[in-house]
Amino acid sequence: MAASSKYSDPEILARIGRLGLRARHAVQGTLAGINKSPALGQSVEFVDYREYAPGDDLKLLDWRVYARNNRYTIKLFEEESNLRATLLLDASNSMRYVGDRSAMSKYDYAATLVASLAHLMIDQRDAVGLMVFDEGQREWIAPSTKRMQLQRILDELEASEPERSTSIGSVLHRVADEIPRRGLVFLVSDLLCDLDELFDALGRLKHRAHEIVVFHLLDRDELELPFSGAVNFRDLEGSDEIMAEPRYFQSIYQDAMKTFTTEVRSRLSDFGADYLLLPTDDDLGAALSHYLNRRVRMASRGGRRAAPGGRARP
Amino acid sequence: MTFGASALLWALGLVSVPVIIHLLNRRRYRDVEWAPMKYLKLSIRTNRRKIRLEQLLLLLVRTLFVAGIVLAICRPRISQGGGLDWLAFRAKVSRLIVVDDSLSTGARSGDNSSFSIARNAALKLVEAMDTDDSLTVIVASNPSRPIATSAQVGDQEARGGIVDAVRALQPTHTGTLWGEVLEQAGRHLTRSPYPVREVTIITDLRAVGWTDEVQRTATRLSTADVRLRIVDVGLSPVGNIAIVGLEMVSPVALKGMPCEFVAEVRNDGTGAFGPIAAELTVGESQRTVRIPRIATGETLKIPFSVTFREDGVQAIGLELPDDVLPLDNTRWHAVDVRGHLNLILVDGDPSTEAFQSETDFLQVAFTVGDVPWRVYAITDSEWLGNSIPEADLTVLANVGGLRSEHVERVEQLVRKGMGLVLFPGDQTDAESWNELLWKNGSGLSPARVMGVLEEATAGLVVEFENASPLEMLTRITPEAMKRIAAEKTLELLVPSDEAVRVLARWDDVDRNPAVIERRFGRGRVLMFSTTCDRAWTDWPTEPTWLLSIRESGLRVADRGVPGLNLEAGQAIVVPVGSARSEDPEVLPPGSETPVPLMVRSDDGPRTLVHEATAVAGVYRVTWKDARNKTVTRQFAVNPATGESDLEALDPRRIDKLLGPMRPTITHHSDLDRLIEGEGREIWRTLMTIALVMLLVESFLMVHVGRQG
Repeated sequence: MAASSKYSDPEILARIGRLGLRARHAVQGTLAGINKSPALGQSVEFVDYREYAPGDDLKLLDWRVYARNNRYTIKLFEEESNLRATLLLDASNSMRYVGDRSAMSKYDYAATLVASLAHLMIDQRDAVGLMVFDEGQREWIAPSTKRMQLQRILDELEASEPERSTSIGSVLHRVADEIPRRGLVFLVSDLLCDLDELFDALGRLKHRAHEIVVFHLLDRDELELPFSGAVNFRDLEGSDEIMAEPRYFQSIYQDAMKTFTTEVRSRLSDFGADYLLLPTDDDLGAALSHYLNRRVRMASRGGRRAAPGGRARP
Repeated sequence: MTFGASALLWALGLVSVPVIIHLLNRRRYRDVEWAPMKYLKLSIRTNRRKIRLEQLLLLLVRTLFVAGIVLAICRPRISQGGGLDWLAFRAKVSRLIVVDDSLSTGARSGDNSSFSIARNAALKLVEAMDTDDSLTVIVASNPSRPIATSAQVGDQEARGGIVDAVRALQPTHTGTLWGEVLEQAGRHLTRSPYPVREVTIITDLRAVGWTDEVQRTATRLSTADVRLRIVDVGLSPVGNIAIVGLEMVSPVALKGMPCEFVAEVRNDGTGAFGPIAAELTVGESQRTVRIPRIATGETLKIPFSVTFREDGVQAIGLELPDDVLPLDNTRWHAVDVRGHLNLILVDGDPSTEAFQSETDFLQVAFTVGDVPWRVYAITDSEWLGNSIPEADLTVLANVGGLRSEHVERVEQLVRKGMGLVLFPGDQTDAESWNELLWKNGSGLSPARVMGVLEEATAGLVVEFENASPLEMLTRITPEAMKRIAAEKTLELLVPSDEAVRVLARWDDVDRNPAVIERRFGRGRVLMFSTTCDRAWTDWPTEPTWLLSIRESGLRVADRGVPGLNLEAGQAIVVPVGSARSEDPEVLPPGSETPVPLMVRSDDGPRTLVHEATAVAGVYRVTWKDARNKTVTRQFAVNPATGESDLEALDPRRIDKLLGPMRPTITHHSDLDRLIEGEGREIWRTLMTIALVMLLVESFLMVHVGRQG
């Protein structure tokens, strides 16, 4: 039975599902040069077959299949896949925001993005795990390739509610401890936190050879400050209140946000991490498929190079 | 700074609207839960001062915009020569100057009169006027007709014409009703080309003529935002001696007979006046009339008589020596001197026996001695059959058989001035009398005949009435009056009518009326309640009969040509009817050149009219009749009596009458300051500033917050 959740958007899944294969090759290709799993064939779970290719370990030949079909196939086990993805979802209070032009809150958008990635990973038989965090780790689902993993992730997404403040730095340090083996780390957050702490923690992840992809979610209102008249701004993650007329400093604010996103992009680029700025009124399916397409093209050009971060184009 | 529409200054309170909106907007706010507070604070902190300045600038610009609009609407004016001259766009003004040329402005002090000061002030104002303004000049004696008008005073030729017209002004003998002057000024200004309107009245501010009508007109003009300035050219009130009346006392002026006049002289001086000799002019001859001593504040009546040697309309003039106001020191009176009076006695019951006819005793009364009467005694049938001739006096004695056409003719003649005396008799039928002569009070008869009282009554009591035809009888001894008796009298019902008065009553219990008078048109009717023969009374045999009949007859007889005596400003009107009247002309006093008369026939008979009578004196009117013979008639135009009173107008009354217009009152000695301080309007400048503020506001609204 297919996993279902309010965050499973069939349109998005249909759109990126076709890319899953490519993504997988691209992911595998991306991982070329990364150490293969040392745990191959031992106490691992059989997950699939594939046709024998010269050079494969003959120990993995499945003789029963040969007897039935006269075909040489080898078994694939869990650790056969090199891709272990960890999805880090920011569920702090700041993710609660939903602007007038957005159909959903940042959290809902993020959860849909995480669900889509989880679907993709599971469909590719890749291991995917989830950490939901705010000012600390809230929930941790270790990566697994099992079919049930997806439903667990989806259930967790639905059960979580944005609350408390954000402290990504400390969370990323925990993640580095939780996933000793290198893999993909997807960080889905608005990054409204201490950037130095963030990059310090990301540095640690990088040191452990993880590939980092940051999906930077912000509402269009948070980028443009479109309000007219007097507004009483109340801090979602604090007790501050500011009464102001945004009209008088709108351009200054937009510049400040542009500086913020540019800084994040730039510093992530230094890390070799992927960066995608996602305003929550953008079409997620289009944005995600555009991003995955780009990764496929980069992979087909050969070699791993830091995918240029930036906003996904529909 | 002054304001043309200061009543709108309250709207300046609207400058608080942008501030209130700004404050209300701050109270009306939206709550937003916000995540990127750090960047919000950074933005605000970075440009806190700039934000505040921009907000204040916007508020200031909006406030200035509102203030500019409101002030512009209030039509502010700044003084010329003040530091704000550069602000002024000059608004065109429609100006009207009223020059007071009434009699009182002839008052002198030294070499100057109020009028000469007024004329000079008007010239100064005209010279000082801005070239863009329009100007109309009127005089108080004739406010409906401007003496000069120009759409643009700047036009040299036009200005020259106005200056010449003002220089040619002379004082008049007229009185002024300032309510009418202000009304006419308002009418002229409604036709003026520019929205800013101003009236300048140059006047001596004497109390006479400033009636309550002024207040009503001023209220109306104030709502039309007409500015009012008054230039006071009055000299300090000084004593004035004036001839305030000159009337003929005698009922009729007859050639060769003394005609009595009375002159009224008033002393408003500071001390007693006289005795002096006043100069009396009668035709070409002159003599003096002694004016006795008149105490200060007194008005004395001085009688004198004149015997005219010629008949026709003649004028007499009485003149006092010059004083501070010489214009009221001469007065004229025009008199229609009659050669004789035509009297018709109509006998209703003729008889061939002596003193048996109705009119026998009347004939004796009217013909004894040296009398001016031409007496025609005719029978009633002759009178009725001859289309009822004109006469100065007609007496109907016991006339019966009147028909309505006869009565209509008699009514026509009495209306024109003929005197009528009615005596009853045995032929008097009450019903017929009331139907034809009483006509429910609208006919010739002064009273309704109720019947005949066949009760003996004795004694006549003369009522004390002003100018009574029986006035002479008041000097008769009571004993003589008691002898007047009657066996029969008419029972009369006298109406309550202003035109009717009882001149004498029978001394009986009921005090029945004996002699009654009625004014009917220009003529008068006397009605006796008893006969003029011995049928009902023996009065005709009494000595008092002669005096009564002669005096009363003289006093009700036709007085001659009417309308010969006028006040300055009143039109001379000569009704000529259908009679030929060619080349009508009038020679004004002091002039040697006659001017043509207007001929009018709008609503009735043809009349010759001359309206330009602002100067007092004798006007000689001539025209040619059907026989091409020149007819001459003199008219006496006299100074307006009220203007001799030089009492100054109380400032409190000025406030009451003109308060709504809030006039500026300037003494003529401060005229230069008035001219300098007139000021210029700056509403256009303010409107320009307001528009600029609007553009700046729009610019700021677009650019505020857009640039870092």
